[in-house]
Amino acid sequence: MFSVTSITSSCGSTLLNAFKASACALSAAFTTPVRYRYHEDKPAILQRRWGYEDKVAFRGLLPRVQTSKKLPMPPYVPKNSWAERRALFGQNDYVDILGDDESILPIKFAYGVPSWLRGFRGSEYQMLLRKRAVFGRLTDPKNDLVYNAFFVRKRLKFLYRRINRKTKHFMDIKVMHR
Amino acid sequence: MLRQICTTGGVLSSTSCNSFRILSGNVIPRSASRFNSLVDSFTLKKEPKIEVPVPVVPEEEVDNALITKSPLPLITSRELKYLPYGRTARQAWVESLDTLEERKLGLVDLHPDVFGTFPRIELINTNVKWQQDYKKVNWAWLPRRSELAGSQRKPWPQKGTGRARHGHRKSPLWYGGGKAHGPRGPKSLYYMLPFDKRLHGLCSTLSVKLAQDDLKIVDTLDIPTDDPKYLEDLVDQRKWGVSVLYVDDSDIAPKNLALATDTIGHMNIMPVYGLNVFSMLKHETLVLTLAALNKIEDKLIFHLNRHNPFPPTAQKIPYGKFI
Repeated sequence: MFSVTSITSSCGSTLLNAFKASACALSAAFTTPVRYRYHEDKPAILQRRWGYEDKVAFRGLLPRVQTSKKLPMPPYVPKNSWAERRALFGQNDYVDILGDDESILPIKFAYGVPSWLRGFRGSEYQMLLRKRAVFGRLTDPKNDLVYNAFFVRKRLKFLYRRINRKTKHFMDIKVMHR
Repeated sequence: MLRQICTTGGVLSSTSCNSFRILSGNVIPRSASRFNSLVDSFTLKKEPKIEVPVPVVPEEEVDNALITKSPLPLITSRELKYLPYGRTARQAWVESLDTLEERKLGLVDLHPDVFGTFPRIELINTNVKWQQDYKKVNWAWLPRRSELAGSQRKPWPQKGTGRARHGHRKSPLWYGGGKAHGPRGPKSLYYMLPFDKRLHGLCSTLSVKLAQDDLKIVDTLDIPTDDPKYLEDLVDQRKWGVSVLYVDDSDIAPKNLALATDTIGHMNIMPVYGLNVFSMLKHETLVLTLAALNKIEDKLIFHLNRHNPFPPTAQKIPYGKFI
């Protein structure tokens, strides 16, 4: 019986291009009587889906072999739960109870929150009002990154009309939590 | 309770001293049996009736002569303010970090209102939730159709093209269009948990820690070396668990402890005002010094018995006042 490798070697060196090799294989395959040829000895080019590589492994426990293409997912890196900011999380939250000065509020130490949002909670309309009160009505190139007066004014105008004219009452729960 | 025996003119008299005091080294209080044997020995000496004046020995010398070894533990007493009638004080051993082996220095009383309250787990959960949430800001933001750049021209005529009718490319129906009801702007999740809930949350957590044998009290935070291995061995030997939180009264930690805990992530030092519910639960063992214990108890007992219905943090921060 012929195999693909033996045929290619018989035709010439293994450095021949693929086209020549496949042509040899084809000629050898078609000269052999089909009734004496087993399925496993069939030339690869005659098999179904020749050249297609299965991305999923049909054998073994893992869905794919290690050498195949990796999934588009970053490798798992466990976080360090005892990094300094996690180990000392919340260490100023009771400073008004256990500290000496009662007027120091815990929210003062929330450095991750922008200063104009510390100690504030409200709807989008209230937030924009507060933002405008802090950064001013006029556009300033210094504030471009955090504050665009044009859009804030546009949005405030829209929200004012919607809250006061379109909704039932501006203190509605639906409106307050929007 | 500490008894001091003074010799005055051959007559023995005992004076009791109720002050809070921890004796160091080999100095110990004298037990009643030792006291009786001492009296007996003196009376036996007097029987031969030899008239020799009993020398007046200074107090320190008597102590050094009679007291040999320290039969630890040594019981100390503390004055507990606003102790509720009919409730007994909780107690805890005082240990030392001097040696790897656990050495009990004494026993202290703990206030039942702080260290023996009912463990309100739902209150502890509320406190932890508040600690995690009150500093959060939701930054999610998606543009409306009016905030997108692009032309507002009608893409194709209303009729005759065979295509669907459209008026704008920035409509929410379009790919790359605006979002109709998207998240808007930085939304602060700030809220202040009521003062009493935070106060009782602290008391509940301290009580839970004591009840689960996770609260240790030491005299000081001084350790002999700055080697991290020493602390790890100590914690391992005393079965304090992996993570330990050391709390002291002062802002500046002892040098050895600071150097030793520097490389160990799960051992941390905090001042008294940094103590909080989240950290107490995150660390397995809580180690308090005696000074820290005094201060924590003073603060919590003061706030538990204060007559101010409006503590500072219960007041709302007025609008327009930026911190």
